[in-house]
Amino acid sequence: MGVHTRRVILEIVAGRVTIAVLEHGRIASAVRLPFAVEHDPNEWSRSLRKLSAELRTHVEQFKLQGCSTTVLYSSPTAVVDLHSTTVSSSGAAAESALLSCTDALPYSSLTAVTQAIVLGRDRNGERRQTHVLVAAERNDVAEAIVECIDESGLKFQAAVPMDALILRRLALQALHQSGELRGSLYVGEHSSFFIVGANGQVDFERRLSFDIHSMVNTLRRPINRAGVEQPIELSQFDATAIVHDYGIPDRDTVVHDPLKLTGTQIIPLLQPLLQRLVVELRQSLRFGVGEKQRDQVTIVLSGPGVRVPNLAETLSKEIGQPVTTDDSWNEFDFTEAVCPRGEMSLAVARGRTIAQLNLEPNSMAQARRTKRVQQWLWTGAAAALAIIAVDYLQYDARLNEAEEQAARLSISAGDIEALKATSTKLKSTVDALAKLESHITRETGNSTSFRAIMNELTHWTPQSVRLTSINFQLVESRMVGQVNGYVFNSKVTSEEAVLERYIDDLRESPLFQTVSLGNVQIGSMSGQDGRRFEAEVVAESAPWMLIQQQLTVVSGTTLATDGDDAP
Amino acid sequence: MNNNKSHRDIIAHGVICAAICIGGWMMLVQPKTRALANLEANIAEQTSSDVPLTQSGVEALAARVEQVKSRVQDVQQRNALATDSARLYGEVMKLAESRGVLIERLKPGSDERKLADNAGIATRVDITAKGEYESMAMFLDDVLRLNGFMRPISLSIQPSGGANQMVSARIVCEAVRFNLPEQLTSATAKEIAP
Repeated sequence: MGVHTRRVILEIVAGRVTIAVLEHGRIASAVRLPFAVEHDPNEWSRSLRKLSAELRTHVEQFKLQGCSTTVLYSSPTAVVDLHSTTVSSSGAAAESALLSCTDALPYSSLTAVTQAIVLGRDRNGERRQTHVLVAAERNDVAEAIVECIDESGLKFQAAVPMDALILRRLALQALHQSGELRGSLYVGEHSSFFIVGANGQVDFERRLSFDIHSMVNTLRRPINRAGVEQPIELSQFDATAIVHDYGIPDRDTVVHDPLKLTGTQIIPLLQPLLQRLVVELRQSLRFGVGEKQRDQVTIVLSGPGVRVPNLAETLSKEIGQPVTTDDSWNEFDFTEAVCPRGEMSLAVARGRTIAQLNLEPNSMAQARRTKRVQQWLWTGAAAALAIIAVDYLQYDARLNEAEEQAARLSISAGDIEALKATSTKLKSTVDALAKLESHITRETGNSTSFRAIMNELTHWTPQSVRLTSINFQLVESRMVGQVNGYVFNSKVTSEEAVLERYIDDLRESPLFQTVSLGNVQIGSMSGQDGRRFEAEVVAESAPWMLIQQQLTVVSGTTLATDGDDAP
Repeated sequence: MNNNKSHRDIIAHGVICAAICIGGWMMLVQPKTRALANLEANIAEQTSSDVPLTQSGVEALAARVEQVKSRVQDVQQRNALATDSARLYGEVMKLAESRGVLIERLKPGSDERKLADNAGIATRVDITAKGEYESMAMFLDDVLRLNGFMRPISLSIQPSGGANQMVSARIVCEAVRFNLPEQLTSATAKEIAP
């Protein structure tokens, strides 16, 4: 069985120490040791140190070294209180309870270890209250517990006052109960509580100065018998047995046969305790419950006190109200180290509550916090490293992708270079071609069409005009021509008018830039009198295509030789 | 005292954790990020500076090259007329015959002159012909539209008498041969082929 599957619950109370070994959440074995403690806190701590040696023996015997150990204890300095406040916020209620508790501590709050746990809030009532369970302990006592556990070879896990678990259970029962007003009287082995509540509301809670242990202690005081000089003192075992077997006996009942003790001898010892309990209960009912409701309160006795014979009846008789018993506590057996209904069994399934009420020393709490922060740090570092690893993989993938792209680019770079070279060469070629084209245009682009000129002259030359020669010469990129001929009188117009009209017509032609009349003199041609003229024309230069559009069909020539007949 | 120690412990652990994380990042991730940044910058530079090598761009370039080559071949063909006087003679005679014009005198390549800017050489062509006015006009046009670079210089027409209004014409023109720049002569080769 591994160490981690076993836990140890160590009960340290007045008179005994119980070691219970839990396996898989159930008590597998237990051993009870006698433990004499003092009421002085310092002495109590010293007793613990002495206890560690004895514990070690049992730890080694049961091979419990290193087992996590929860300590349920009852010490003179442990403070457990149920604090009720109208504050609804859990956090504020807990803080308020802690403040109230530390103010009431019999020792300095600076040397105290405190814990608080919110149990719940009243479900009904005009002034609903939040109930907080507060536990406190002196830091040095808490350290002594830890030392004791560590030195015994166990591993300290938590230390919780036994009363805290008992009070927690009672308060929760009261909060969850419904129906009539009910007083829960818990009589424990080492502490007792009285809680009154109804309809999910806790009216009040009170710690009672009565418990079974105090009954046993009372019975261990010297007992005087009639006729016997020497008083007798009962052993712890005998006193405990009398309490559990006879409780509050009749006067004639023999409670210890060997010593011939009867109720007559022990009732006077128990009387003050019972009297005080009754007074406390009456006061509680008087001040905690309204007068009208007081008679309606049903008192239920629970806890190990149920197994004290005649306790319920005695209380009922003294208080004057019915006191019933919680029969589930009938299973309680004080002779067993751990019984199903024992107080120790409260700790078995209350891991979370124990963790919340853990009164560990400040240094240990600090160390635990430090360790937790360190764990967070390392967890954060691990998460960061995981992110870094993911980042690395992502970047690696992107880098591979980029390298592939770069490789593709480098492959196409050769093609691009060749293309660029070709492009550059082509540009120089195009430039050279453009230069050549400009030369071609300059030299041959605009040309004169002799056919068009001849055609145009034919078109505009009338019958009374006879041309004798047409000459054109390229002068400074202009085609300059000289047209010679004769003009004769027509039937209706004079020579001058014909010539003037002829020149005007030529000027209208789009093929000629300028037309100017030169020398005109009297002359004759083929025996016909007329006037000889010279005209200078400058032909338009135009691209061949344009010239072709202007062309008309040559219908005939007007050129005439000197020997030709006049028209 | 304990508080101080625990604080020191936490700080020490924090520093160690931070150092591990930072160190891990610097060892693993940072070199990759740098390499990636450099590579991406190179790729960006390369892609932005390069001519976009698209199918349409290459096709356009090839088409332009074809145009240039075609034009150069055309110029070379037309230049050939000026360099080959026998061919010029034959072409003129063929035109005259087709137009019914009688060539009385033809001097192809009688004189040469250099064009400005060393653009080429012009070869003078002197033609004296006789024919009908209309035929002569078309003949003159045909001569100037020969498959070469023909440039008219002068024209002189007189009636030659006789029937059908015959005229005698003398036309002087130049057959021009343009010098092809070196880039164009190489352009005809396969060098600029993409």
